[in-house]
Amino acid sequence: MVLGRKKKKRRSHKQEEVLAQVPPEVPPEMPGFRTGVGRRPWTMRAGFALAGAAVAALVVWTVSRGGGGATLFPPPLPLATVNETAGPTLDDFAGADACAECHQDQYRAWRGSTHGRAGGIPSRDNVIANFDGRPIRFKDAVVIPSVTANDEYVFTVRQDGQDPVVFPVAGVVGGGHMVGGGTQGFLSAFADGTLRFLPFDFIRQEGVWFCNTNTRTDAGWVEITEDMALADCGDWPPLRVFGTEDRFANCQECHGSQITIKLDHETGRYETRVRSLSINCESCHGPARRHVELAQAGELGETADLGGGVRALGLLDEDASLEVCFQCHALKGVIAPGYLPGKDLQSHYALLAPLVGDKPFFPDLRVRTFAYQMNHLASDCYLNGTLNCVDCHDPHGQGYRDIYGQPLAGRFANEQCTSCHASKAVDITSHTNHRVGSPGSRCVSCHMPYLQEQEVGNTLRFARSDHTIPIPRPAFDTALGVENACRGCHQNLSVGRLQEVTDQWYGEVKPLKPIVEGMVRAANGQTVDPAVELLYPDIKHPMAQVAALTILIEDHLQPNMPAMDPEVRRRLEQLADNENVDVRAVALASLHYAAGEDPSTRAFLAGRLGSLAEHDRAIRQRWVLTLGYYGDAFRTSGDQGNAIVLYHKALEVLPEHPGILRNLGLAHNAQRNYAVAIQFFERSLAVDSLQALALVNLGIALENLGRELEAAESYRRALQINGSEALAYFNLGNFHLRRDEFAEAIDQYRRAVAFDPGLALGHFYLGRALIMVNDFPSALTSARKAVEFDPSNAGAREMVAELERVIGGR
Amino acid sequence: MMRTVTVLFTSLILATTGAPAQQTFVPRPLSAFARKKAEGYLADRYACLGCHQLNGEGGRIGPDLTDVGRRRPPSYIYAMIRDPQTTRPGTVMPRQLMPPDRVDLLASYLAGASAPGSASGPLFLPDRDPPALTAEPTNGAGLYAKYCASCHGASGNGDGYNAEFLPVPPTRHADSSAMSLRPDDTLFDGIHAGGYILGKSHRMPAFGQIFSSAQIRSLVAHIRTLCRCEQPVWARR
Repeated sequence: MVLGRKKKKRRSHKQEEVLAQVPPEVPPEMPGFRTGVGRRPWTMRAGFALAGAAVAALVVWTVSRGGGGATLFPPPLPLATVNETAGPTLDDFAGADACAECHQDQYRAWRGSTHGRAGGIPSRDNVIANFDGRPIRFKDAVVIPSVTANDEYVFTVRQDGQDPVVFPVAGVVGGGHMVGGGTQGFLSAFADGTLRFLPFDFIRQEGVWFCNTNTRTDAGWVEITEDMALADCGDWPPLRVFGTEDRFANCQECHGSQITIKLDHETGRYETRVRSLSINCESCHGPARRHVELAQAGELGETADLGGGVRALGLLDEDASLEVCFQCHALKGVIAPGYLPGKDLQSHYALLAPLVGDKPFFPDLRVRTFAYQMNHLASDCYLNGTLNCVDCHDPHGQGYRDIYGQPLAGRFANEQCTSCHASKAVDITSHTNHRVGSPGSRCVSCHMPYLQEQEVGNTLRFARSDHTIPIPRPAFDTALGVENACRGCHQNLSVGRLQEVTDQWYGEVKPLKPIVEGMVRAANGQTVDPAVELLYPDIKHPMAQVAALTILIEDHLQPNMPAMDPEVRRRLEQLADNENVDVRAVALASLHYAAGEDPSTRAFLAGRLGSLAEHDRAIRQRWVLTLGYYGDAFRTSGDQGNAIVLYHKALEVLPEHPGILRNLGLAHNAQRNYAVAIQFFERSLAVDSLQALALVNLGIALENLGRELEAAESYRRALQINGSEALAYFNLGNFHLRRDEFAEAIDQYRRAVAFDPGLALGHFYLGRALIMVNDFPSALTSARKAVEFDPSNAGAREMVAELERVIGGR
Repeated sequence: MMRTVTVLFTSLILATTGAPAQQTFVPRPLSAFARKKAEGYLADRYACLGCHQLNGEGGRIGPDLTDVGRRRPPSYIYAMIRDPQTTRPGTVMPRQLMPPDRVDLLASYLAGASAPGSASGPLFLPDRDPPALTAEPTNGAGLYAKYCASCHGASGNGDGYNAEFLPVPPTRHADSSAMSLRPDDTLFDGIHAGGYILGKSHRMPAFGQIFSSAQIRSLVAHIRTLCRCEQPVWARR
């Protein structure tokens, strides 16, 4: 799971797994119907999101032994304190208004800032979108945003042949504040206790409604037009849940403050709690309730501790200061759920994990798909200096300032740069070759250009300032696929001409770092010596080091290679002692991946595992995350053998990891080793019994062995854990359909699509069951829904045509 | 007499900073947290302990700050932080830019740190024994000798008398292999804004408020004579 994939709306991969294993039974009455999924799998990292909780629940440890080696890996150290319940709870937070009495200046600055105005309950003050009753027209639907007589903001969705659906707006996210393209989204409350984003977003600059189509038509963010189907919007029906909930493989905990979501297993409903839809004081400073109580009691004066976990941030060192902002302004891999400000971020998230596999960045670590400002870690200002976010951004008012804390005129003020790079300010024109006062004379025009986030597409402007702070290299940038800074103004000049001019002005420019050169060469398909060009143990560049390690694994390593380049091994062993926990873990995982059975490597790994000390848990979780990711990659590509090898390696590092055990079950199930699969699902459930989807997968494996009654019982157990688990209802529907229990099947399928209206296969099989009871009109409605959400399902299209022919197209 | 000095003192501050008039500086009482914060800024963010000692830690170039509150009046401490060159002409202490509330915090801390409750004393002459003013060096060698050599050593070997009191050894400007990797502009920037911005020691102060660009360039040129090296080829244009 990648935190921060804003607007990236894909169905959980776990759901894909379950769907993919639905027995594609075809009723004899309607031959030729086929099942189809038609969606790309979500990033596979979601499978490990429960790692932390799983370890916390670990009850049995068994020594794992490598296939051919004799060295046993030491077990994890006894659990430390980090788990879902450790650290502050929502009740430890006081809210921004509690800060105002004593910290008036900071509060006032914050109140008017982007963070202070990030969202809220809908009102005339914060809604920028048009809620004037003017319809948003799709080709198959009309959506009317309006304000009721009670001042309630609502969307009314009308589709032919269906009752109108009204979605009251419970919350507004965003206010179109961002200069590079600002949007506003809307939340609505759902019956299962979740808050979900509606698919109708508004973008200020263009002044239009738009939606994200990436999971459907893959056209990026596009203005809604009458040429579009409502289901072209990936969030229709609403799926993107507010808060970080593993079931939905979706992290939206940064569009507000102190957001928690938890499934209540008694009621089967989610409990969603949100302290504020603004980004409040405690999002950065941590929980302040105790501090406020001490202040009100007059007891703060003689203690240097502010009380209760709240902290001042002005004296944090560079990395600690960055980490405050990276709570939200970074992609992250989840390793333990339940994060709240005040907890240890690195115990909950692996900041560099998204570099493993997903490639959200170019080889020089500029944003390739969609990301935030974490690639500041690749800037020279970080690598060769100490620059952190608050050196330029006033954290309270979000105005701009220089390195000395002096306020600046705005985002284009050169002093952001020249307060450090004073040499360039002496004669600015000699450096910029542009007239003073012109856009080309601004440092940020060339070194921090606004670059369109490529995953958004090019229809709507959503550009963010490049925080790698690069030197413009027109030819190189263009070859890489990055819009070069010069083109921000000089759109009529060819890349060749721009390069010619920069050559003339600057001659040879600062060379790329060798590790970046290596990654660029690898990306270009050139032959690289991995040891020499990708592995740099002695540099300070964790982001590049992790990125290069992933290239090494993917291009140069194989699980249990017969022989590993000794120089690669030597450098990996050096990287395994890196200061950065992400670098260390991925280096250790790389050695384990390629040479885990080699006796000397195995001894090395065992030695390192035995000496992780206070980093034991952090390193092991990241190590397992890496092996698990590549295990998933093998499994989903059909190579179950290598997947199983890697999963077992992961279990050597964190024995009885429920996510790994679950995925071992999936791999064996795919190999038709159903009995073994069942064993692994049951082992996973023995560690964490509250995994509804594991029970669904267990049920499918049981069905594959013909143990249908036990399968049905497994689905029912899943529903006891999560009463809104659509896939459990769906598979129960299948169970009844196979037994010709059509009324029961219809009932279960209806529940499935009620809880997940976008479940195309649910509609499809509901239609089939309805045909069996001769309810053709209802079957047609279901078949049309199946096509609406999965146009690639030829069987569903055929069903629609046949039913229209039979009943005359009503 | 006292009144006259006060006015004179305030006008000096105004002349150099353009700040609002301030008749005197009255230290504010600091909480335990604020004192800890002040110590953090003095030791871990600003260059103060590069030259001064505080509670046994720090350099030997300037006077010990541990008991400065006993030796100097609050307004003098405030003024030295705010604008040392005007307050004590001829001092090697460069002005460090910082937000006004931080000047206030550090001055309050230093004024009251060793003598709580007695910090808001009367103003008197900035310095009873003004130093003999000598002509400011104008060339790189002279500037280096006055401002840099105490840490970096007269020959740039990082062996100035103050070096042993620093947590990070001063850069060896005579090291040609290291120095040939650094562009002249980087050296300029480091002198101007201090070691902090280069990821080096924050105890190397920023001299940008007392040196002209020409003076910094002359210092860079002098450093090049110490290392007998040039900047990287890519930086020469």
